[in-house]
Amino acid sequence: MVGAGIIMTDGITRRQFLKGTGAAMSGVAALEAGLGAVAGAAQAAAVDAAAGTSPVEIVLDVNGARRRVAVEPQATLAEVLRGPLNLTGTKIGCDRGACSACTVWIDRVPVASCMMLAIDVGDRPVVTIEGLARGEQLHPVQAAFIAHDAIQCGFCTPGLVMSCAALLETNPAPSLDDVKAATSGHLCRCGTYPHAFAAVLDAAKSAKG
Amino acid sequence: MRAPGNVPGAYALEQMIDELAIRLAMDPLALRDRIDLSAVRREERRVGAARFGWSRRRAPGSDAGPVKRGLGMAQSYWGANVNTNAACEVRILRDGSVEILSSVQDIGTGIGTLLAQVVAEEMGLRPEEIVVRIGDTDFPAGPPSYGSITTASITPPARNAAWRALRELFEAAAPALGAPPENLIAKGGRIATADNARSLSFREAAATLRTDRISVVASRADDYGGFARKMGDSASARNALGGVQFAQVAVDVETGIVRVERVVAVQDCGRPMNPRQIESQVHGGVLMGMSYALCEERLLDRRTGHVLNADLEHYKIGRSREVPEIEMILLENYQGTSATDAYGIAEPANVATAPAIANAVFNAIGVRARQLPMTPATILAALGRIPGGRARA
Amino acid sequence: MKGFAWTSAPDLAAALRAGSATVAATMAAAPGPAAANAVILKAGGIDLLDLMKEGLLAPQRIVNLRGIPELGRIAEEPGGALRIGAMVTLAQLAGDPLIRARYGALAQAAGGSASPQIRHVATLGGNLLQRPRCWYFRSIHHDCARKGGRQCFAFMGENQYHAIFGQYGCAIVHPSTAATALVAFDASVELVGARGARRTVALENFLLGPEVDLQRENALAPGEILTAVLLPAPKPGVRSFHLRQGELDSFDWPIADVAVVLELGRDGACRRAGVVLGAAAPVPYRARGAESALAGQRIAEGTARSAAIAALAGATPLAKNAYKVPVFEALVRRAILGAAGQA
Ligand SMILES: Cc1cc2nc3c(=O)[nH]c(=O)nc-3n(C[C@H](O)[C@H](O)[C@H](O)COP(=O)(O)OP(=O)(O)OC[C@H]3O[C@@H](n4cnc5c(N)ncnc54)[C@H](O)[C@@H]3O)c2cc1C
Ligand code: SF4
Ligand code: FES
Ligand code: FES
Repeated sequence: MVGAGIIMTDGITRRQFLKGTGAAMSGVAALEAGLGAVAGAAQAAAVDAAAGTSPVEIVLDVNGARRRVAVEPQATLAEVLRGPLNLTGTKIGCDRGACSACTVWIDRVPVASCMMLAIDVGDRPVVTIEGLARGEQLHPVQAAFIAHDAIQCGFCTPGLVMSCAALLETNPAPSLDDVKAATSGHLCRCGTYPHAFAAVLDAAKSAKG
Repeated sequence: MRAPGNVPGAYALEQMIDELAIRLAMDPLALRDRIDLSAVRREERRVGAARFGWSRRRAPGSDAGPVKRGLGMAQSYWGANVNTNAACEVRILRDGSVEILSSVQDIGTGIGTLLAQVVAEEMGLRPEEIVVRIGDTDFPAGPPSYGSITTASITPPARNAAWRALRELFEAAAPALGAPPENLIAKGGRIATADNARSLSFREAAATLRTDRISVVASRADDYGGFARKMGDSASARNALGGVQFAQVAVDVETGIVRVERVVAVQDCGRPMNPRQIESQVHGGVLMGMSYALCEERLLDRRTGHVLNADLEHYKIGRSREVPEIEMILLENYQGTSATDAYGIAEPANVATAPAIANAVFNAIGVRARQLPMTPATILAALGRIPGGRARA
Repeated sequence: MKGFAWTSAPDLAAALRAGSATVAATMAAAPGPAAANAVILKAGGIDLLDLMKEGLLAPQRIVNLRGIPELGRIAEEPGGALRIGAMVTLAQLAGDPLIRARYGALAQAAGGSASPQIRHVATLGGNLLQRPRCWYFRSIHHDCARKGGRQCFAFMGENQYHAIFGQYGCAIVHPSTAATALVAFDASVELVGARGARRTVALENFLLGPEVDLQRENALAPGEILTAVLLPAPKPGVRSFHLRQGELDSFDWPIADVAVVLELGRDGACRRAGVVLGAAAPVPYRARGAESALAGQRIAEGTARSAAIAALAGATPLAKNAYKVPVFEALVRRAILGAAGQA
């Protein structure tokens, strides 16, 4: 904390500072997140040239934008999202595929970003919690989560919302059992499940009506 | 885990009371009416039993198939605890904004929302108009987030600070309204004379301040009439909290699987401030209690001393498909002991769940699982269904 | 995770040229140059990342199989057999209409594994080749027999999730839930060697118990790639069922799972039965006693019950897992009735 003798006066917030350290530890280096259309094949070739732990430049399609970033081969998608791409909505709970806090969409399907290497994403589109709203307009599942108080500490929430939103994409009128099945990989220690279930069912109803 | 220490204790005690009732051939509720002096718990038992349908309870083993259903109940007791080293600052700024500052932190219990509610109510504003700044140790000391003490500790000073800040605003605005400050009220986003004849919007009233902001710090006063106990910064209110929970379980006697189907939780927490948030806390308490009852266990390798399940794969916690139907009944127990009269909920909602489930398991299968968690291994051993096996002990 | 070099193989030939080592051999060779220089194949990467994050594996190079289209197809062969590419995901298996119709137990087994997030990435090949989940095996603090150490910690330790059959010096249960169903369907695996030679092996023979080899769970050779799983054409009257029981219904490894494949004649009698237990032994455990108890019988509660008892005959549970015996008995009986449509 600040009291520990670190005084940041040059516009770096504590959060950015902590983030920076985290990213450095996870083996991710930030490059300017500029644009640049690198063709899939060229990207693969560049990636293949990588040896050892040196960072490789890749382009990720995240929330509809092409983001150029340098990653070490062992960096997971979750680490790259949270570190250099500054998309900290995605959370890392277990880092082993066992809690689903890190759920994002790849090709519109929910996956655990902690168990996927960033280098392995290729040109498949990634959607994170930051990409769910349309501008200021929340996704119906997000709005319903707020209305139903389906959030306590919020650590599981982004992942849970991504799974629930994905469910409604393929099943616009889910049953309670469908919602339970779609969220069965998630761990919410705070116990928001009943409110989350109600929120999803409500979001489905309001989307229809 | 929530309510550390209390949950294992209640698991034993609440099953003993259940067992005693059965030995005495009494309904467990009737026995508790005899031995439990709390009028609050008595009322909670009454309303809970009615909602739950306690009268449907049958003798153990009444179901013919392998899945046996059972009903059980248990109670919790929790000190209504307060931290007196709890303070906050309320500011009214000349631009009409209102802030509350405290180092109290929101770990998901919603204290930020409650603080906004309290200040807004006092100032005649809407909660979303209040800027809540918490979690910074530069602000006045807030209570820690444990022991279900946060709401009880920090909402009374919030109301007191808001009340005093508003008096200062009344002083400033009185000349413009041509009325003495004690004749002013704050309502519907306006500062008005008591007869509503003249009024200013809150923002216009704030513009009459002589300085950029006024600021009042208040701390947690003792409960009206004093505390039952006080030690350092910790204090306990004269009346404790608690609750009564009813559980319906289904036990598959062939696989030993226990599933909780329904829980009715009757809880009290003084004056409920935000029922939906309270419901969230009760859900958390019930689900943690259920998980504790059915699957949570730290496994230590006895020979090497390593914890074998220090991960979310093998440290098992109930998830979406384990969630039962949970109904909450709030018993509003006004006591008039502080400026908000609010006490805690998170832990008292957790204590009774595991023993209620265990008592329901007994009602389903006629044997008691004296071991936690109630995994298939525990249940099948209790049923004597493990070949050549003995109960894990 | 340690760093590594990365190659995306565009086709099978390129992947074969990479000269991969097996994870089992690499772990057995660690620490040492052979382990440090190993080239390892990656399918979905779920098990690979798990092992690497735990510090149990640190290959020099990883070769990605994800870009090889021919490994990702499900195709019906002339004659009705089904060929499932190794890179087909568990989610695809669970949702494929043909598999659901003809090999229902496989769709059930795949669909009940892990979580939706994992199933969308985990592949069938990787699932069959994943390493065991024994917590001593997965802990860097325990140098157990399967990792080349001297002892099995599970025998004297926490063995509630371990095997009740066939624990020859190691008590793992085979981690693949899909394998339970595949063995019941008499599936085989197709492998291509470093020089391009193809071989087909019955899955049951491909998976190895500790009595054959304590340090690997299958007969994958260095440099070899598992290209497909082959399912024989379904015989008329075949019905199947897979049942799993976890301590939890959401996201939990099974404490017991059972696949039953029944070939029922016109008269309703069972011509042939496949009964396989998962989470029971170091390999999917074929319950021959149950299979012969069902042969020639009409399926009813009584036959199912005696077959279930026969299935568990000879079980040798450890100190903390005898509870699995009654759980399996219930599951075998229910799965038989489920397959016969009498559940
Ligand atoms: C939390 C959690 C719960 C789980 N629950 C279950 C469960 O209930 N049931 C179940 O069955 N599984 C379960 N799993 C395991 C999971 O299904 C496997 O890890 C996954 O299927 C592995 O597949 P993959 O494609 O990711 O394999 P990878 O990790 O890519 O590969 C696994 C191994 O196979 C090798 N390999 C992969 N493909 C080939 C190939 N074609 N040729 C040669 N070698 C190859 C790799 O070198 C590696 O050694 C669970 C996993 C997690 C994290
Ligand atoms: S069961 Fe096998 S993997 Fe587990 S400790 Fe024993 S030898 Fe090792
Ligand atoms: S952080 Fe990825 S599943 Fe837990
Ligand atoms: S809200 Fe806290 S873990 Fe889900």
